[in-house]
This record gives sequence, C-alpha cells and structure tokens, in this order.
Amino acid sequence: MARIASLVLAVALAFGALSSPTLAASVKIGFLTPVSGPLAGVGAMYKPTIEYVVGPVNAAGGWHGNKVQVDIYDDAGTTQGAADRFRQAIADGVRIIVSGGTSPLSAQNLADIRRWNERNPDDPAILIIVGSEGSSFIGKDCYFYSFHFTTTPFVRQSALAKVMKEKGALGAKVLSLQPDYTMGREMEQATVNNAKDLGYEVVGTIRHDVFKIRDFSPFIEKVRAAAPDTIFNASSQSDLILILQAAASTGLKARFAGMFLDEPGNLASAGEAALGNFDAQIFNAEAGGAAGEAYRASFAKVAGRDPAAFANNGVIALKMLMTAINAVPKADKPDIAKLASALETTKVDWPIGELSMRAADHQIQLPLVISQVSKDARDKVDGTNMGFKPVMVLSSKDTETTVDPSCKMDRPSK
Amino acid sequence: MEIFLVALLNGLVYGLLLFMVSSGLTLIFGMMGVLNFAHASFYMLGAYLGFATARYVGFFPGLVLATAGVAFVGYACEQHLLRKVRSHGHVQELLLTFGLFFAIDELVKLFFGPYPVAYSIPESLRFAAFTIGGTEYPFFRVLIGMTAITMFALIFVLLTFTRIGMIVRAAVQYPAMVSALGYNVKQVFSALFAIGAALAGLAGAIGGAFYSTSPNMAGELGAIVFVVVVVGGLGSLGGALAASLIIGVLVSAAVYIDASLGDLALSLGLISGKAIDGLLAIPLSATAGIIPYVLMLAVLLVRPSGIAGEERS
Repeated sequence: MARIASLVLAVALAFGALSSPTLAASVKIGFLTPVSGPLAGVGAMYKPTIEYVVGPVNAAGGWHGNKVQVDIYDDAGTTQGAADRFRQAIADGVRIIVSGGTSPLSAQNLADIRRWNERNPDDPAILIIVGSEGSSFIGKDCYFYSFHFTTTPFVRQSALAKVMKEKGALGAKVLSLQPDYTMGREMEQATVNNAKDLGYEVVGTIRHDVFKIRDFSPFIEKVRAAAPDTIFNASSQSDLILILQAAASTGLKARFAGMFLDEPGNLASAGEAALGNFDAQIFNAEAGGAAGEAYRASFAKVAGRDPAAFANNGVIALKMLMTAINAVPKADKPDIAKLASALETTKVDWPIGELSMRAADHQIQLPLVISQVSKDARDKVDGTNMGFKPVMVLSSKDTETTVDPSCKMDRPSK
Repeated sequence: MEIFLVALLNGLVYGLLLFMVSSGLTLIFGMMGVLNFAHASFYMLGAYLGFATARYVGFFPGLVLATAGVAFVGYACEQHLLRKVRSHGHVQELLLTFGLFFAIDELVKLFFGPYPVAYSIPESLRFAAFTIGGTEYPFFRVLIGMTAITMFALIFVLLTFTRIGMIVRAAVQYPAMVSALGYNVKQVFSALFAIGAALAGLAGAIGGAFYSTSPNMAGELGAIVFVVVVVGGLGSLGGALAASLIIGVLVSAAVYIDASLGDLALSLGLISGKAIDGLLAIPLSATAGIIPYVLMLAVLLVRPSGIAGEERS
C-alpha cells in the first residue's frame, strides 16, 4: 500500500516537474464578459478579438518566449456574476483583467480590483476597460491600475454635433431622447452643454426606461410635437430598434444621431427605418483606406464577420495591452506596476489614425468616424443593402476632451 | 385633441397586443392551474418561427406556420414534460416551466445567434390606414388590434357556446366524471395547453415583425405579461383584456406627463421649490415602464384577486 502511494506521489511529482515551468511563465489574462444571459451578444462580439490579436502574438513567440493565455470568464451580465468571476480569475492566478461588459459590470470589476490591490499591495492586478462608456472611469473613479479604452458619451455627442453642423445636417432644433441610466444622462448633459457653442436650441429632453418599453409610439408622438431637426439618442439594442421603427412607421422626418447603430444585427432588424441616421463609429473600413480594408478582411477571416462597434474596442485594447506587455522586462511573470507605467506611454498604429493613452486620466485618445446609414456605403452590413457611409474622420486631436478635474490619480511611490 | 386621440389609439393597440400574449397564460392557468413561466418563451418562439418560415412562404402563411409550430411545441411540452410531473403538484409544474424558459432562451441563441434578426413586416403592409390631423396612422397597428379582438371573440364563443367548450369546462371541474363518459381528459388538457401556447406564438409572429425579434424578447415581455394576468385576475379572460387595455393606455398617457412627484407636492404647498431633487424630480414620463408594476402593487393591496378574479381558497 505504501509502495503504491509513493509511486503515485512520484508520478505526480514528475508531472508537476514537467508542466510547472511552462505554467509559471505563461502570461495569464482574464477576459470578463457576458457569454450567457441577456447580454450574451456583448461576449459574442468580443470573443473573436482575442484570437485575432493574441493568436499572432503567440505565433511570434509570445512574451519573451512565453505563451500569452487569455481565458474568458462568463459573468452572465450581472454584477454578482462579475464579482464571482473576478474572484475565480484571481484564484486562477490572473492579474490582468479585461473588463468587456457594460458600465455597471466594469464598475464592479473596478471596485473589486481596488479592494484586492489595497489588501495585496505587493501583488497588484490591473483592469483593462474595453467598452464601458461611463465617464466616471476617467473622472472621480480614475485609478492608476485602471485604463479606459473607449470614448465617453461626451466625446461622441460633441463629435456628432460638430460634424453634422459642418455638413449642414444638424439643423437649429435639437432634441435629446435618452435611456434613463448613466449613459443616457451623460449624453443628455452633453447635448445641453454643447448647445451654445454649436448654436442649436434644445427643444426637449426626454428619457425612457431601459428595456421595459415595447411600444415607443407615445415617445415619438411627443418628439414630433417638439418638431426637432436632429435627435441625439444613446439607446441600444432592442430599445434603439423599437425607437427607429416607431419613428419610421409614423413618418417622423428628424434624423437620429447616436453610437449603437453599428452593433451587429441592428441594421437588419431596423430595416429601412435606419436610413439617413448618423452614427459615431470607432472604426469604418471605407474610411480607413487600404489599411482599413486590410484590417477588415483579416478580422473577418478570423471572426467570420466584419469588425463592428465595440469589437473594435476589443481589438484596440488587446493590441495596446500586448504592446505594453512586450515593453515589460522578462521575469517569471510580468510586473503589473511596470505594465501600468508602460501602458501610460503606449502608442499603436490604427488604420484611421494613431492610438495613444493619456497618462493623466488613463483615457485612450482615439479617432472617430462619423457615418450615415446609406445604400451608397461600400461595405453592406448584416446582409442588408445598407451600410455606413463615412461622412468625416475626426483625428484623436479633434475628439480630445479636457481631463476631468475630479480625477485624482494616486501613483505608487517608487 | 389629435395628440390625445393618437395616444389613446396607441395605448389601445399596445394593450391588445399584451392581451394576445397574456390570454394564453391566463387560459392555461384558469383551466389547468399551471402557472406557465415559459409562456413568454412561446411568444419568442413564434417570432423566430415566423422569421424562419416567412422567407420561404411569405408573411401571412408564415404566421400560420409559426402558430401551428408553437402549438406543436406546446403540445409536446405538455405531453412529455408537464404530464410527468403533474402528480407531484403545482410547484413542480412551475419549476419545470421555469427551467423551460432558460432552455428555450439558450436554444434560440444557439440556432439564431445572440443578435437581433431581420424579421419585419412586408413593405406591402407599410401604409397609412387613416390620418388624424397631421399624423398618419399605420395600417399594421390596426391589424394587430383587429387580430387580438377576433381572437378574443373566437375563444369566448368557443368556450361558452360550443360543445367543445362545454367538454373542456367539464373536464376542468369534474375530470373523473368526464373521463368516465368516454372522453380522453389527458388529451383535452394537452390540446388546451397547445392552444394557449399557439396564442402566444401568433402574438409573437405578429409582434416580432412589428417590434423586434431578438433572444431577449422573452425576458423583456415575460414580466409584464404576468403583471397583466395578476391585475386582471388569475384565470379570467375578460379580466386580462381589461388589464391589458388599462396598462396600455396608462403607459401611453404617462409619457406625455412631464410633472414630477415634487411638482405635485409643490402645488399642494407641501414642500418648497428648492427641495425638488432626486426621486422627487423625476418626471412621470421617464417612469412609464414602471407604471404597470406600481399598478400591480396597488391591485394586490386593494383587491388581491385582481379585477375579475374569483376568490381562491
């Protein structure tokens, strides 16, 4: 009996000796995103970005010869799930957390990471926020170990309003129709703030419950009564489709301007109701020239569909993360504090302009494409005869906003 | 006046669509005592079946196929799942349908993907039925309303005035006796469940085309359907109709009211203008989606059996 036990022990030790060097040296990244539940579409959007960015990195030797391993943790779209999966990832030895969900989920991840870092100052973790637009992440909640890789509603609204005014598409009367949560409120705030500078009048601010309204026609009737030329709108998913269809079925002529129209399925589901509306896009292949087309084609080869909406944020965030990791000197595993410092100065080439990280508040500086839904677009979307025709590309200089004074970043003293 | 009329019509049509979905739920509960959590999933299935078939056979034949398809799924669920747990009691039935809800949800995502699909009403049906002032009223909304009313009339007549209805009602009250008279009571129940599911399927095939078809539509509609049934009185078809219309019109009307609780308190002289902040400052129009739930709370407090429900022991 004792011999069998010692034999088992010997075999176990041998396996341990075989596998441990590769395990200890690989770079572990946890991608927290909803793969099941009502937000499953979000996770489906991000999933191919991992293979697309990290695949070539590993093929080229990974991090100083060590494999970069990205595991998806399904938070099911709930903050409870986000907290549970965070604990699981930490227990798995993950110290680089990518937060690919909505603002409430990222806020949960951020709170968890702050707590972990306070208790374990010698073994910190870092948060990569991919697609959560809430501006608090670079305002009062800004944090040395947290980086924000998307815009805020303020950036998108300003960009949309500026370009539409320049193209004579804005009109004098503007209305804000928003989902009643952080994002919508910030978009409404931006619409009101920019009124004076851009010379339009806000003829109404309307908010609606999120994913509770099936029939938006009462809202559309109310919009019609205010007779706006342009409607700023940050509604997403079914809310957005229902709003566009309600507007089209009653013959409302105003244009919509928002940022979620290019998410997969939306154009197909909204149909012709989407035509003529404006969208602030992270990426548009037609606007990106040869480099843009090359990126679109190579991404489609891996993912099976063109890079749309926040999938681009996924690519951007992972690309900048990989660049920064490679700048961290070789060790057993990457030094997280050094990784954070490296990310602050990371610059990456992108088909429509350069991407960089602003050290003051860890907000990515990125170009935006303002597009209009049209049948003349080169790349048709979702099997429809419509696509996004680029109207103007704004460089990262054009989209830059000032650093929120409420951001007080504590840097580790070393 | 125009706005008022359009708002009222919009509210009524939305209410009628709610009724289409909830009638099946209340029918199944009233007759069989099964609280079917997966009912909204049948609504979603109807939409996806409509989407899958309309491409090949056209919109209206698609509606028929979707309704029949969901009826078949409902029949199979009753025969192979619900019947097995019936002897264990209603809680087990409820848990089973709760599980069905999640299973259908994930199955739909497996086959059709997590994104919304391109299911919409045909261009030939996009025209104005009539105009009120400057507003064109879409024909399809009228069609939804008419379908719901026809459906209500049909079920009502079927259950009240025909021999089939008599047998169904008898099977519910005295199953042993009806069975002794030579009727297959188990088949009656299966058929009843199938009809309830078919009603939701038809509503889904129509509503999915008019609104949107996505894997989240069951979850988004599920809660409100239960509100309708509770407010109307569990098991009462007329109650469900009344509750649907009340909720439709209330939600539609609330959107036009920009006053907040704070404004009301201010006009009554309870607080000063400076105190209007936070909850008190939210205009009623921004809370339109919550109104049905507030209504349900009020009904449960004042009249727990609902508008037309009978007292249950």
